[in-house]
Amino acid sequence: MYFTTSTFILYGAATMPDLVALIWFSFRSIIIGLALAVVWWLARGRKSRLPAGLTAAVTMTATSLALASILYLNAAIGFSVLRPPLSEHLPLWVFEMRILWALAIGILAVALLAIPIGAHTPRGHASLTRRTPFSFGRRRWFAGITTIVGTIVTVSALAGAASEPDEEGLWRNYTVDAGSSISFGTRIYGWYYSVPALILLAALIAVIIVALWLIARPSLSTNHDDDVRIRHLRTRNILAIASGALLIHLGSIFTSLSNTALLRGGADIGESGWGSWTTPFAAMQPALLYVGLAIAALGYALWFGVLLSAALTRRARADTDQS
Amino acid sequence: MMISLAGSAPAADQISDQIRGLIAAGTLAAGERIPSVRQLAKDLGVAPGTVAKAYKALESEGHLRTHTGGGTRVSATASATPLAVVEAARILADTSLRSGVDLEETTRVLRAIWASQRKDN
Repeated sequence: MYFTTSTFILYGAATMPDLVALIWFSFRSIIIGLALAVVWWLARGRKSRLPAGLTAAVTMTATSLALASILYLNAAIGFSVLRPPLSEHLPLWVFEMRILWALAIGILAVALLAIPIGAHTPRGHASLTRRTPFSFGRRRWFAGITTIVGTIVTVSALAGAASEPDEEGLWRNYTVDAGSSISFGTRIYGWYYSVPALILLAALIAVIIVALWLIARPSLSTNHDDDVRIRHLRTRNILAIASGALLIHLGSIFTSLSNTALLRGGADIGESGWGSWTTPFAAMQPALLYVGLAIAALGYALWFGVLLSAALTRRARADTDQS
Repeated sequence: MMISLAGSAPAADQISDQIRGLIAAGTLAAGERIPSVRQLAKDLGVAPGTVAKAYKALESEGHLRTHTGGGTRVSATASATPLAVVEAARILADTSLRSGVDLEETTRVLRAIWASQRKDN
């Protein structure tokens, strides 16, 4: 396998500590992300709860589906018993391209979060405030997502520029030239992976703008303050889910590059003895790995944060209704 | 900043009168962007031409200015209140409402700060 998650097969003889270690290494970013989201929720999350209703239900469904999908897909890599019966017939690139999963799932989740789509019903009165896709979001949220997109594009371009075509002509090879016609090669996050990712990135941006436009477009209801607050929360949730997807993707790129940085090669160089070669960025390998895991954990934290803001509100309201 | 249509007066006149009033009261600041003809027409349930007529009247009076691609804004000379002051006042009102502080208390605090700032200057 090319990317970082190791492939494990569950044997009957696997001990409990092995299993715990396996779960930790397969899902550590997700576990840390969940812990961060719970801390955020306890500290500040209660202030931004969604009121019970269709919006909260849709938000919970979209976020649960996104998290369940990515959990399942990651588990299917680590635990072969979880793979669907016909998985061997799935095109290989579906698994090879798992660096794209977060973006694809993010697009679907953001599209779902555009529901409910409000009707533009004229009410004989109007607010003199302009409503654009950016009207209900804070500047720092848009600045944050723009920074993440900029980082992804920059890192993708740098890795793509460093890539070379392999024997199949696919731009995913990275070679270290050791001279005397000796070279060492490994896989890198080259154009073969980054071009589809950048296409999905563009699609995600388009879906975000459409979803934000659908939220901003309808006329404000007579309950002006509540309507503005709900639109504010929906805009925040869409940007959080999209930022989460982008951060998980960026984390995958960094951990993938950390794998490339692991390349080591050695060759007999005649009378001088044995020579060894590494990549020019070999010293960055631990940093790439841990930064990648931390960025992905932050992405999962955003997804879990949105889930908590929708799920716990619903429960609180249900308790109130029962009492 | 809401405008409403009521009564038998032509809709375009009602729209222009209310926007003119908001500018005169300082609620709409100089340079502030107002909704597009299409958005306001949809919200009010009138034809876009009605809102366009109101905007055109206000433009000819010097209250509004329209730039192609830049939307419609309150003219710099139409309102005495700078946009920065109106935006800061909106933030103050929003903060007070969220903190449960009423208008009287907010005004008292503003007066006290105003007095101390004038002394400093």
